Amino acid sequence: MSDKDKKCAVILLAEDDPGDQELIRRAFAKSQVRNQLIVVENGQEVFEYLHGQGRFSAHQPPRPDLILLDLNMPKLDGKEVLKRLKQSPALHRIPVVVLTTSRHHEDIVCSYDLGANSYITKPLKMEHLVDVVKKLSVYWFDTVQLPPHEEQLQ
Amino acid sequence: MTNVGTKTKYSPDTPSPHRKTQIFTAEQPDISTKISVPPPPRSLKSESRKPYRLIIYLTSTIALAETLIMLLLPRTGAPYWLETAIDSFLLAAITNPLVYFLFLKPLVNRIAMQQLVEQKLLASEKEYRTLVSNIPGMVYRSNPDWTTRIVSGSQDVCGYLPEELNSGNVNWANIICYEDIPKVFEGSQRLCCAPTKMIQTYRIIKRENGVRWIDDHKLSLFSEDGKFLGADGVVFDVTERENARVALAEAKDKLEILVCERTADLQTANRELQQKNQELNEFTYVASHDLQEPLRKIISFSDLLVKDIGAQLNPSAQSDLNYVVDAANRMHDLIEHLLLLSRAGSKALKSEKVPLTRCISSAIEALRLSITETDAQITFDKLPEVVGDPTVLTQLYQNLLGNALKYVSSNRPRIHFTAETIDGEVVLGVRDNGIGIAPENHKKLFIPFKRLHGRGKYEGTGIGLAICRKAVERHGGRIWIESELGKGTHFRFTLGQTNPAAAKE
Repeated sequence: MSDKDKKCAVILLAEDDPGDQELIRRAFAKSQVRNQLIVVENGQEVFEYLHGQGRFSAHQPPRPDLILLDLNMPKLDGKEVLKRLKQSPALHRIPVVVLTTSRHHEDIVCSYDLGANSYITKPLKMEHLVDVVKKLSVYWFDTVQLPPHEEQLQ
Repeated sequence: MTNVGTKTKYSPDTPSPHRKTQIFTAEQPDISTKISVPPPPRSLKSESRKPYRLIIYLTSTIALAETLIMLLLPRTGAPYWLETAIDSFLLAAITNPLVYFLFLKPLVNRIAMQQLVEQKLLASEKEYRTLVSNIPGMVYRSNPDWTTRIVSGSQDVCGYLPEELNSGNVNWANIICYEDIPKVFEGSQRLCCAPTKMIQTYRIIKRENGVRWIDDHKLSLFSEDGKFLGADGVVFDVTERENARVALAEAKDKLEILVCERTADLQTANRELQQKNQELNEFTYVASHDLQEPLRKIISFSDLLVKDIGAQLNPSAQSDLNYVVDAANRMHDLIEHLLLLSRAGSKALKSEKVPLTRCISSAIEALRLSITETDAQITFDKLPEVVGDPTVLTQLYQNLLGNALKYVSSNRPRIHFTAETIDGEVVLGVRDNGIGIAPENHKKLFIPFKRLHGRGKYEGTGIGLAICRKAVERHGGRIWIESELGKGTHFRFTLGQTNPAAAKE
């Protein structure tokens, strides 16, 4: 599969903080990766997006190839989202990368226990964030074999 | 007569060797016949079937008396005296010297002995009486009907004379404290059931001194056929002892209350501490996450600003922006170090054998760049193996080495890792030839965020040595400094009592 044939990967970012949303958007823009970034504001919206409900009910949104998940969010926090995703037979294969500020030992352990595929602490400087985004892209979309979507299975 | 006397050693106990004599005497009515077979007196008749070992004794005044007194010693039962009218036997005794020597002489001796025994008995009784009267308590004997005869000592114990109590003017039962009467009564019941020895402690009302505690030592007496004969007793005043006991019990109660109060206080304090600890953990979390969150954005966005428009700003605005970036970065460092310190105090400590050379190698590796830059010369003592947490010990050495590399003088830095045994304790350390520290500042060094130098001159938040202290203290050791301004610094520390022994294993 050549680069041009490659489908544009969809990344779902769950992040409540507008500042962080902006920073991550910028980092994606700067890293010049060919990924589609969709942003939801909290844990509840993750599921609304995945099930085509609420503000996503108008049209069936594309299924994400990767979920970037903040831990500290209103309504449904990251850990709860992670738990429900990994328990759902339909959604548990979607890789989840925790992207959070916390470096707390407990948060790291708990996230992996709940089935997180990676855990990244948000870097301090923009250039580092750009670096992280690039590496994410390279790893998950160029290196790793992702599980095929269900429609592709058929 | 002489014949008879010489041939006969009279004794009814030994009849067979003298049968001949007896036959002879029986045949010939003689005085000896009368001796050998005295007419049994009336009172003796019932006993007369029993053989008698002996004998007839005479009192010393026998010659003048009209009766004969005899001591009969039956084979069984107690001996007894018997009086009988003087008859021909006496006459024979007086007239016949043989009879005198055989019977009268031993008799007199026996009587003298008897008197001696009586005297001894009297003396012994007097001795006992003195002994009893010297007992610092009341001695009494109770009859089966519980009437009591006081022998001695009642005045000291209850203030009444023995006569007053014995005459019935004062009844012992009436001076027992009302509350204790059932107890004493119950004791008496037990005494007359079976041979019993007991000590009862109860209160009486003394004639003038009010309530006194006494110990009543009782022993019940029974006849051989099991009849209750009464009880002997000794009573002692134990008021002092009982008062002391009550005081002791009260003191004990007070102490227990005090202990309970203290325990409650401690439990409260403990709960408060646990709560504080919980709060501290929450603070740590807040510091690691919630404080960092906005700060990270300040840093990131000011970073973006500098990159996007930094070049277009006038020098004054550029400088302002740099201050913002600087301050934000420093704030970030402070929080990070605060977290480090908090973790140094709360993280579970491992306890394993650690060769210190390994910790120091790791520390040197981590600071390789600084060492190369400063061209520092590093030397070692022979370093032991200790018991501890390798990560924490590496951090400790890294901080101390970092310090030595930071506060360098104009000379080429020389850093020496020391290890000495002083009074059986392993003292470790890091010595440098740097700028040194004035003695008045030694104590400030280990306080978090306390800096001795302006930020311009030396980088750092002032947390490194506070972390060192925490690391050492958590190992049960202590850390101190030996230094003077301009003469280099020697940071020294121990790792607790267990380490020298553990290192030798």
